Amino acid sequence: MAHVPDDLLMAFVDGQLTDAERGRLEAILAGDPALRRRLEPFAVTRAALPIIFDQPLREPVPARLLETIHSAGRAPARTTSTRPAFERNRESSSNQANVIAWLRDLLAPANGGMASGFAYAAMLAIGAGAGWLGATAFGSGGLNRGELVIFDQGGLVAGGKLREALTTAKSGELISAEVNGGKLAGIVPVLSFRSLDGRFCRQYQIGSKGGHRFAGLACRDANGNWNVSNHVEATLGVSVKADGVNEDQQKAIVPALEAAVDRMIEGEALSAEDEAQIIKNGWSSAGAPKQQGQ
Amino acid sequence: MTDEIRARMIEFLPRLRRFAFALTRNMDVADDLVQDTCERALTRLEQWQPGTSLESWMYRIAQNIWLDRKRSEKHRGQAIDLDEAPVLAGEDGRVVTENRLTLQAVGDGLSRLPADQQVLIALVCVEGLSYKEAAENLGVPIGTVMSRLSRARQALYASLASDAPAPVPKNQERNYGTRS
Repeated sequence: MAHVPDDLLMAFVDGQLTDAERGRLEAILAGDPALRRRLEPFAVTRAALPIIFDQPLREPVPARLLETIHSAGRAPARTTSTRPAFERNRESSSNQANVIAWLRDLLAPANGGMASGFAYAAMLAIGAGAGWLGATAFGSGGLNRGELVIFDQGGLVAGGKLREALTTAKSGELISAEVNGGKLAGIVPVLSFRSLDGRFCRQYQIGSKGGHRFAGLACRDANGNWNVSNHVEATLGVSVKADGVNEDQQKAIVPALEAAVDRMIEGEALSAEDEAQIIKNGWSSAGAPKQQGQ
Repeated sequence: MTDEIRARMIEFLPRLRRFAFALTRNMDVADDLVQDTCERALTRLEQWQPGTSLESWMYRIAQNIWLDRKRSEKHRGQAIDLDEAPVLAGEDGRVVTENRLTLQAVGDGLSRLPADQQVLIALVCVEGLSYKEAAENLGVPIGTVMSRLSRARQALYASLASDAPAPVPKNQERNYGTRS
């Protein structure tokens, strides 16, 4: 019987053999149960480890890490942050660009990263027993935002679980949603505030299992719909607007969104107590702690 | 230019966090490592060669920080407290071949391996790098990567598959008796 070194068996499991090598090894494996058993340590470690350690792919990235990336290695002083927020008109065209980029992304499903794709493939493999032999190329679909953000009367409104999260969840509270055929996403309202035109608005984040993250801003209209004014893939917003970051921001999410909040907000963000009360009241202005200016 | 790099780093953060989690087995410690990695990368950006993989470079920074820490811990005789690691699996049916395939069991198994082998497993098995990429990251020949990695995975598997606790005296207070 041919001697097959461990390295070669491992490379077979990891999909790192050439076609010719794989063909030869498959022929030998087919007639050698003992050799097939030697695959197991490699198959188990390959399939299980991405899942054992996948917690970071299932939760939002902590704000402190985003803040580090925004600020590390940057000159501290910047003149833009001293300008009044409402003067930053140039933001709007960039926000528009972000929404357009998002629409384009919606039409062309994004491919998941290789690692996340493999994690999913590995999960399939475990479900299917010995199916790992077939688990090689895999493209995980992007988050189907259509279910969470929908077109309605010419605008974008929150739908499904996003609507539910914005209506009922406190800031910081995670609502999980199944989207795109069972794919898991987490929705977190980040902040609530009253806008200059008297509406309640909320900033939110959505993270999907594949690592795609979106951040957005929605304001509630008189009919109880959440009109989505911004919805951007987190990295897009950063690449476009990173020079507009305000250093004293407590929450580092997406600078374009922060700028939009700055433009729209009346006073300060709602405190946790006020927010809880307003959620309890169903977002009606009655009983709200402060009269809105029309 | 650097804004584009920052955006790519943010996009890469979930995977970098997973890599750090695989090395540290504790999410808070992992995030400290990720933060240090990002700070070092952004303050030494001129050391990154445009056109090469930003991700590989950041894995390398993270692994070097971690390896340095492991070395200095060894000198101080400080042990990692695995008991603080959250148990993610084992209660929700996420069980593969036997009931010991949990974060804690895998963490125990990994912690018995040399630090460079832990890095290899994190790079290849968790992050999905090719042997060639891992070899470049660690600065060793590809053959060395393959032989070390196959030995490490067999050792890890052996520690996971053995029902009886491995004869390692430390951590003996942990409950190994959760067999079905």
